[in-house]
Amino acid sequence: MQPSARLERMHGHLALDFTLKQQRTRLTVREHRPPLQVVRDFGLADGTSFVHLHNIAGGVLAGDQLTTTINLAVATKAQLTTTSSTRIYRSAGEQVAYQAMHANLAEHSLLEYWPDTTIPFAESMYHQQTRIDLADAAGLCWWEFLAPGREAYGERFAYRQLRLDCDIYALGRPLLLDRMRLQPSLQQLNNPLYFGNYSYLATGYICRVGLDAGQWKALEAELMAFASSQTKLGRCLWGVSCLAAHGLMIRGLSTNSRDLLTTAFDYWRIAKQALYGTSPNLPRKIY
Amino acid sequence: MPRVGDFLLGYTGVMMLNAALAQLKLLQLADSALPIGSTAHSYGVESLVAEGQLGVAGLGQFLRAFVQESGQLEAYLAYQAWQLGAAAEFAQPWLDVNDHAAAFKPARESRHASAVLGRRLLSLALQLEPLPRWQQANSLAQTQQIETHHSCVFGLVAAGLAIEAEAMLAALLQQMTLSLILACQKILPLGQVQAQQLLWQLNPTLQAVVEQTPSITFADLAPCSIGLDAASMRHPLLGTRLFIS
Repeated sequence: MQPSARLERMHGHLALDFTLKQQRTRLTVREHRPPLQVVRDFGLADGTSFVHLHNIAGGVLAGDQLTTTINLAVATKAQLTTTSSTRIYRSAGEQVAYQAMHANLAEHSLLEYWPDTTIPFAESMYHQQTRIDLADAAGLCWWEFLAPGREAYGERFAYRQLRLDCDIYALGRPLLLDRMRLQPSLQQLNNPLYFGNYSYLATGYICRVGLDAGQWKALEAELMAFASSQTKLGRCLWGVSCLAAHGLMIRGLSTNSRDLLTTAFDYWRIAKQALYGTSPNLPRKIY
Repeated sequence: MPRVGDFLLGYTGVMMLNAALAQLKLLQLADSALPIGSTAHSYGVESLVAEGQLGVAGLGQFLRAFVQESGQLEAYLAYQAWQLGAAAEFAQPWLDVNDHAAAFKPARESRHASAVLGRRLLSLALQLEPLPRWQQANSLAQTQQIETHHSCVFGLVAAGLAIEAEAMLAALLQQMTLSLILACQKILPLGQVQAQQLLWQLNPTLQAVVEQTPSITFADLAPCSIGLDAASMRHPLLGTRLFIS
């Protein structure tokens, strides 16, 4: 029997609804199927609902199909984080580990998503699909962190295939289609078109629907100045750019994960102050 | 055998085939000397060179990946637009393909370059031959306040001129690759012969992209140029810049 045939494939699902009750956002877990789980939400001082997303399997195995849907009602605020890195285990055959997230943000809602790093192990095959729909005045801070593998084990770009899609729609129109397919056996990832001499990738999407282009240009300039101060050739590169409307995107490449994780929060601190006039809460973790 | 209708009297007074006439028009529109401003953009390559990430030695490999990733995206967009040339339903698909073009370009300067080149190409085409569909595309862009991206316009214009999809895609890919090589010649010690050799060696890659484009779907598209995109995002920070993007 093949090792892959012995493993039970998981079809995990998590459906989270955030609604407003007495000026505070509260979570209702509409559905959860292992290995995805949420224990409870925690109310932050500003009324935000703070939620830890658990994957009790410890990672995503080949053949797993995990889906999460997140619905934010009008004027709700939610912050989500993972409890550990997302480990993508090796695939013995041709089965792909698959994870999808779909977030619907109603008018004037705000979603902050702070996951830990995704670590694709050697020989892994992974497809992650994210779709985010933003209604009028909805706000978003969404980060993704990607490692080249288990570097301590000498793994660097040893996975077989990685596909990461993040499609963001605002008012029903595509705002950003950020997709990548990485296949180290077919692509030379040290090519400067891809990673160059860097190994870790951070991507941040900051949006608030309805703000005019001038405000985004001003915020871009502010974040770009910060990006310039954090860019150190040979160690860490940052870039910031306005999207066609309603938001901006931040991209970092680094030789290590720590530079990216610590700096990512500072971008949101600057942006949240500019967009909402408040400071964000950093999930309690070791950065 | 050519049919009677295939012969036209060209402005030189020489009888030529429709196919040859279409080819002439394609050669003109895909020429790097076309005055739409394509030589003013590096799409982030200037940053990569300034940061020491890209040199002549790695240029062949870089360009090959560029064609496979960014080239595939532009070819897809051009092909979608080409199919709209004679489509009954035009307005919404035209808006959609240009929306997609913008959404696939996260770096502002590169996205803006694509939009400016598209606008200028459409404007130029209308001044050369005001076809109704091109006028419709232009009117929609103005009334709906959307940007028309270069590859989309290139595909649509080619369709109007009865240029075959394969020839259109090959010309588009060659033009965008040559533009980048010409940009590299301004910022790297890259000789003219070497530049032509680079382009020549990319022909099989261009051909492969052309061949696979008609079967690519929107869901398949996953163009990855994270390093170049990030470099384009940093381009405004360069102290001295030869290029707009």
